[in-house]
Amino acid sequence: MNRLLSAVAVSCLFAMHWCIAEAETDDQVAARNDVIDFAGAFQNDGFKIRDGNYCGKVSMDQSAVVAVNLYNGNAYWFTASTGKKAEKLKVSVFDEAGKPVSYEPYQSGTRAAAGFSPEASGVYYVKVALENGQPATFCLIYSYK
Amino acid sequence: MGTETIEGHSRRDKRNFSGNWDAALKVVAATGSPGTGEAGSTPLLYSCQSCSLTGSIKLERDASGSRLVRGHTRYFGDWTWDLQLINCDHMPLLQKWLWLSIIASIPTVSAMAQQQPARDKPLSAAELKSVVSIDALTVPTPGEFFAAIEKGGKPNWTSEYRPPVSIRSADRAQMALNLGTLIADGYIAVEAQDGQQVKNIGKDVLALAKKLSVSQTVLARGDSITRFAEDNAWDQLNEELEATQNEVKKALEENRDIDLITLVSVGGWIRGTEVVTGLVIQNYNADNAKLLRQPALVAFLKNKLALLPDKLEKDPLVQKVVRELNDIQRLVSFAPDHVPTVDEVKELNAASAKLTKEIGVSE
Repeated sequence: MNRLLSAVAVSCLFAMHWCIAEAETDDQVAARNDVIDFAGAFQNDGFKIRDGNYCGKVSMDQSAVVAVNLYNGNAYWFTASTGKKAEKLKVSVFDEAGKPVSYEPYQSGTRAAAGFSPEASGVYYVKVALENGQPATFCLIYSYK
Repeated sequence: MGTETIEGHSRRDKRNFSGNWDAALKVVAATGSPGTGEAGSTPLLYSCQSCSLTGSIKLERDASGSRLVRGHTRYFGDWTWDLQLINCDHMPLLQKWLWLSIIASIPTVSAMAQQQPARDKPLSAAELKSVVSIDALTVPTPGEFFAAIEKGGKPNWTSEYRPPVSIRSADRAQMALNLGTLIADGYIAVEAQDGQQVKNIGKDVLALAKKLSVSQTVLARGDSITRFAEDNAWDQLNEELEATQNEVKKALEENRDIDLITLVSVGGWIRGTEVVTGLVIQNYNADNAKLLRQPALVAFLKNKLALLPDKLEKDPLVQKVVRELNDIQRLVSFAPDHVPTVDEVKELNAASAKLTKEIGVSE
């Protein structure tokens, strides 16, 4: 019986841990809401916002790099926001070898974006960096047309 | 102050609402926080107190000098377009905010007009090592693939239709793979602007989703798909399909069926590749052929398949998919400056079509 109870307790703890690990933080929710608002501006120009997003943490000495697979002929905007704090974010784009590519930058405090039209299909890297401010949670989404 | 009515609906649930500008302006005045000057489109946030909706609007002018305000509403992340004729003279506060927005946007717009030469440092080895690859962003949607091929002219989308697939299989791996291919079919029907086909595919997608025991929220998407198809709301359908796919994946994750998520992505990509290669063959040109270069994407999918648990890994269909993805990987792995020949495109088309067929065959 004790063994059974222990097993149940361990299972409950595991389930709780799983739920906590999966739960979104307030910072993530705020960052995601803000970046969706921000990306809405690109919809005015016919860009479609992808439904997926990536939320992570950045600090001045730790940026985040996300791999994306892009198609030549399409135009893309990568947008990121921390949502509520007064950091200075930067979004930049790199080719499959990690070399910087030419892109249209946009930066406004907690929000940053990079517009890019690839000449070759394939994998690219989108880097979200914090140029100034305290470590923060950010959310990255992209739109295409 | 006027009492113009704001009317609109959100993209996904077509929730009708109305509010008046007085109410909206009171919120702007109270919070003092309309968004201004963002990313060249100068959205101005407004909010309706009676229904709690927020949205943004953009000032434009027509030839007669009237002020047209393009607005879109937002409700739980859903957006829509509604062109609204607004008499700004009746709304002094709004007018003030609009002009402030325009002024604020000028430097933004001009800054964005030019693509800057690359001045960033290359990614370091540590950064390359820490690259995050996630299904939600790393795997492009069939819609992105299809958007790219439309640049060369309107393809004959209906030529890429296929007969309905059997959804009777009880094999969960096959159901997940089939779900991916069906969602890609949905994108094709949207591109073809074929409402009936969208509805048919929507029903199949939801039937499969139900068999995979996904949550009720996913099933509710079926109504939206039908409504949008009836209204010929193609842009909304495009988003709805991706949202449906993401909700299925989220529900699978919640059901601890996380491994099936990879199979949904794989199915969608294979069917998308079959369709795009078919269209490239019909209207061969270098730009279209270069779209097929996706070595890292196939590697990503293969890596995810390699992590499947034993039970799924030993599934005969999954084993077949893994084997045939090796061939497909070879065909999509070429140098950035290489243009695949017609024969190479045909080979890739044959390989992806064969695999799509195998996924769709009932046990």
